[in-house]
Amino acid sequence: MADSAIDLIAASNYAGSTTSLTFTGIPQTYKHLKIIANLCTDINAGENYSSQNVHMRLNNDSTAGTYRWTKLGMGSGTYADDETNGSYADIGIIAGDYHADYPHHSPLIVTLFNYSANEPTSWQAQCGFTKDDNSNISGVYLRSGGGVATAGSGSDWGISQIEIYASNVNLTSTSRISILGYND
Amino acid sequence: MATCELLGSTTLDNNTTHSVTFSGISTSDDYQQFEILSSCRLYETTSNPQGVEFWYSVNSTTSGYVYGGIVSQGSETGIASPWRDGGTGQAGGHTYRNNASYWNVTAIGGNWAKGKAFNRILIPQAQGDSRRKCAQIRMWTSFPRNDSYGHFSSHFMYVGDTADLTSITLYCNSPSTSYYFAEDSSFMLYGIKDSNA
Repeated sequence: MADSAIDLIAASNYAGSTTSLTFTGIPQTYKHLKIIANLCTDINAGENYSSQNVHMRLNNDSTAGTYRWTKLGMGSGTYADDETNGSYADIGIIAGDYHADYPHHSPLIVTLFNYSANEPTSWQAQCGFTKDDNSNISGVYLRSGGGVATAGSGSDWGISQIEIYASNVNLTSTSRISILGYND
Repeated sequence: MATCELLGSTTLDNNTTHSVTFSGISTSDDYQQFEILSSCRLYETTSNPQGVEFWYSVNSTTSGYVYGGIVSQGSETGIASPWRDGGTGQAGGHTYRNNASYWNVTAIGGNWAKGKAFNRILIPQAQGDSRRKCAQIRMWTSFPRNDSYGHFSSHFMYVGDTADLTSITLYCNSPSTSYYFAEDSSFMLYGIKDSNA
């Protein structure tokens, strides 16, 4: 019987009413990573945004130009955007707490390619949520995109730390992230 | 116990490979879904960045592929064009429409210094019950020598071939062309089972 090609590396819930969750000590023994998250909005945070972007930071690197990405989205309309000098990765969209009737769950899946290799790390991400609130801000929101992160002037890095965070919206303690490792 | 198995893995050590084939896929292991992860770049010998299409075929079938999806080019902010191919009119108006007989999963390429193209293909229920094969595709690519250019696409595709899936071939551009994957391009095929056996 063959060994499993996918292993669970880490899984954790958010602390509750926080914006960020960080994983450290990610082993360098896999080829690719898959991040599976279910992010749940804290409706009492009082930030008053209808939706917010979800960001990813690798190896705690916030240097401008480290991240480049493009994204496709659908909400009240369709849109596309890109960033060529980013200090973070834009990987998704989640419900905000503005007029939210109940905590909205936003599933997020991110595939990180070649995360442990001596080369740039690229990702693909899909995220979305449905919202049915009390101010007619409702509907289905979807986001797909991808990008590449390169440390410094193209120097090599392996990813040992991943932070998933949102601005202007807090996440409940039921928000959970799992990180899977793909063997090659 | 393994519900997901690595069925094939290739990392190129040359600049002369035009296609990669995973063949001999078992039809008796209860695979419910296949997942292909590719990280690749075009081997380039000029100073001008370019992209070529990334094609693939199953079971050596060379016709009957239908595909459609949505695509963006980052340098043209605001574009989010749907497109499709397969007997009806194009839904969006994007130049990536292609009357191809193989599945077209758009551009790969770019400079090695900062990026590659990354492709994920999911093919569910590709064995048993004489089903035609459908797939979900996502691909992202960048052209580092022109940092304003990024490209992302999300596709759905199917082919009328109903035989059990036993082989998959990934091409750098269409099969008849002379484009090559660059060194260090890697391709992996996973099989996900329908049971824990």
